[in-house]
Amino acid sequence: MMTTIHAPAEIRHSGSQRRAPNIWPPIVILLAGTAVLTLIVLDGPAIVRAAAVLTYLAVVPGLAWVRVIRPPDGLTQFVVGVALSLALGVLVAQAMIALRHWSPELGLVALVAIASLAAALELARGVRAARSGPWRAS
Amino acid sequence: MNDDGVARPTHARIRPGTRPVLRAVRMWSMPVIALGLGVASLLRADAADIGPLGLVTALRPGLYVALALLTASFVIGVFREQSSSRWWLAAHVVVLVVLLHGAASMIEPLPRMVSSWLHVGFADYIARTGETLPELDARFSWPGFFALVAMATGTAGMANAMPLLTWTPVVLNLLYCAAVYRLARELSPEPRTAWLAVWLFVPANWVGQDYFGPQAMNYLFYLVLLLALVAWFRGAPRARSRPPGRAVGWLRSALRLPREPRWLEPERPPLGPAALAGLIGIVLVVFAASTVSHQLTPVAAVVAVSGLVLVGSCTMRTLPVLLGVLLVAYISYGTVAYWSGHLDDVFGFIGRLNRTVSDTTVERVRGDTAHQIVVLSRLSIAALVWGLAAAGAWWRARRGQGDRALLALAGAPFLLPALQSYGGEMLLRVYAFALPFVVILVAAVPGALGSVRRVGHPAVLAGVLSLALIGSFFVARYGNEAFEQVRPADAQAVTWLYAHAPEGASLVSLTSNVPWRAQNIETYKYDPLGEDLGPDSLEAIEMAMRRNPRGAYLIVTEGQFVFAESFLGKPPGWGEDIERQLVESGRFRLVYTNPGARIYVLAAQESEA
Repeated sequence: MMTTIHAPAEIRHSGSQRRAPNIWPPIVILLAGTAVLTLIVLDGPAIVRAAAVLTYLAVVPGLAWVRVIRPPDGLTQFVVGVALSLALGVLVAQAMIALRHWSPELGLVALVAIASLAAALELARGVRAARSGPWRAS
Repeated sequence: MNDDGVARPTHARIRPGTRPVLRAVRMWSMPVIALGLGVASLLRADAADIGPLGLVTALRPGLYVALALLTASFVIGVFREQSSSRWWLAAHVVVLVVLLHGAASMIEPLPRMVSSWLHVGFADYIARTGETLPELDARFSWPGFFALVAMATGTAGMANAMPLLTWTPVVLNLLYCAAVYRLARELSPEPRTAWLAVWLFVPANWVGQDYFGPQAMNYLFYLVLLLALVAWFRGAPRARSRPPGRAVGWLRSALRLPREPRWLEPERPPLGPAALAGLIGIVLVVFAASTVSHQLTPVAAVVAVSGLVLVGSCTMRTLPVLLGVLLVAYISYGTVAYWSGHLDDVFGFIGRLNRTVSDTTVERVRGDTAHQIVVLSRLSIAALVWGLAAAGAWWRARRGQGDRALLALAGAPFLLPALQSYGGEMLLRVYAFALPFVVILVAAVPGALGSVRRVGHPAVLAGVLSLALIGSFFVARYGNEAFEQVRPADAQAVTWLYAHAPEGASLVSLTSNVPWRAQNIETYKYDPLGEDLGPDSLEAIEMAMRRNPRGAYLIVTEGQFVFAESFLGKPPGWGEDIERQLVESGRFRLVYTNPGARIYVLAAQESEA
């Protein structure tokens, strides 16, 4: 069976020139993962650690992957990203229970790895695209 | 026009001499004033004023003024020719969510709902042991949410998840609103309807399943999964191969609908293979997470996706089968401990629609008069919303703005009662699962009545409808607050209990409405466990306490008395009578007391100790 997929109208682009790829979001995602792991290793201030880890777990892993498929708008990207982050967290935590290898830190490392993989993919795509120009000003 | 189709104020429209900054200040002042006034009113309210009708008796007039101002500002902004920016409209929605869904959080000193405290206890057990206890509680057969919380609090360095409880409803409702808005934009002819839909969704969502727990997270999963399907996998309209039959033609004529239906389903260009794979991956990951974390939501998702496929609005026609296989596989292997002893709970309701409807409506209309008023107000709002949705669907069909995906998603949850009873809460869940789509249909009504029937200006009609829903929200949503709040005295007694009761002891109460089990869920023997009513006579209490050689503690709290009278329909003074009997019997000794709670042990047990 052939499946036809339709993109939302908002993502249609016109004109021959494309928007220059923004390589900063994947770099921020990579740095955020490193920062969160550093906070845990160095046992940072309780409130900072709690806020940073909870925000990261709730937003970043899913957002990193949602960015790869380029949703039509920021709101869709954010809300799908949050749901996907929570879903990935559920599956990683559940897998640790099923495998009888419970370690919250290991779970976080796994999620940072998942997010970083997506960010690396986006970064590589952005760098490759940047070399192929030309771009119109955004 | 901006990309949402709502006209934005531009420099060309600014009157000469009016500075943009002043204009911006004037424009933004209304949501800011409403927020300030509303929050100040809520912070001044006293939880002690919560009465039989719930939170409504504790609210100050300033809150209603704030909500009226906010509503007026929003509907004028939505319906005027030169509408405001989406940020400004979104700010109104955010303020509405904070004032409605954050009301209890700002009035009550402790997080509400003993169920959410229990969920903290489930996560605490996983965090300590790395295991689940499906034989203790059925919810451990779907432990995804608790596992996530255990992992999150563990890595965040938190002792437990209690700090997350208070603001969970506000945060989640904001996320729901974001998803509902995007769904409404995909399924509405223009942005005005989408904005009105998300605005109405906030007060119409009185179901209260947004407290810290698996259902709250899974509702977001449900919305996002359907958003992905509607946004990316919606099929193009198909031309009819043959004319409609005589019966269909007669029905359409009787309903004054065009003989040939016209649908509002835009053609969309195809996506590349990488994006396609990514989107399918997102759908499957979200569904898998839902499957392992909640009993009902994945079933509702499969039914909704099946509805989309049946009406030809989902290009992934094999998706329901795939999701169904995932669901059955998990239930077969992951929840054996649950269904091996509860087969009748799982499958017994299939086809028994009468019993499900009876359980979820008749049985729920019980308790004292105030509680019955609350339940009837909920049923009335549901009837109003569903009636207006039917009118909206009819209007859109007449205008050639029908949408098969919207109708399928709004109607699919009504099939759920034929499949499960879900502990007598099914109609509540049907309302919740249909609501995001129902409000999109309701949002078409003010424009329809205003423009054709000349009943009034659409903005006025939208305002009246909004105020009706907002006004009834506090009774429908917080009507049970007399027993859904967690009283500080009750929580203090539980803290004393955990500090003094030896491991393995029995902890006994008259009803289940006690804020315990947020810790040590496996360390003590709790009675009642999983039932509303505990031992409720002197003999039954004594028997439950004497059974355990390691000792037993009876906790008696104000929260239990209110729950028994208001929800369980016990006569006034029921709890006080039992307590008086046990004191007069001389067989119990008081070991702890505060103004709202007492703890007793058996007198013989005390002397032996």
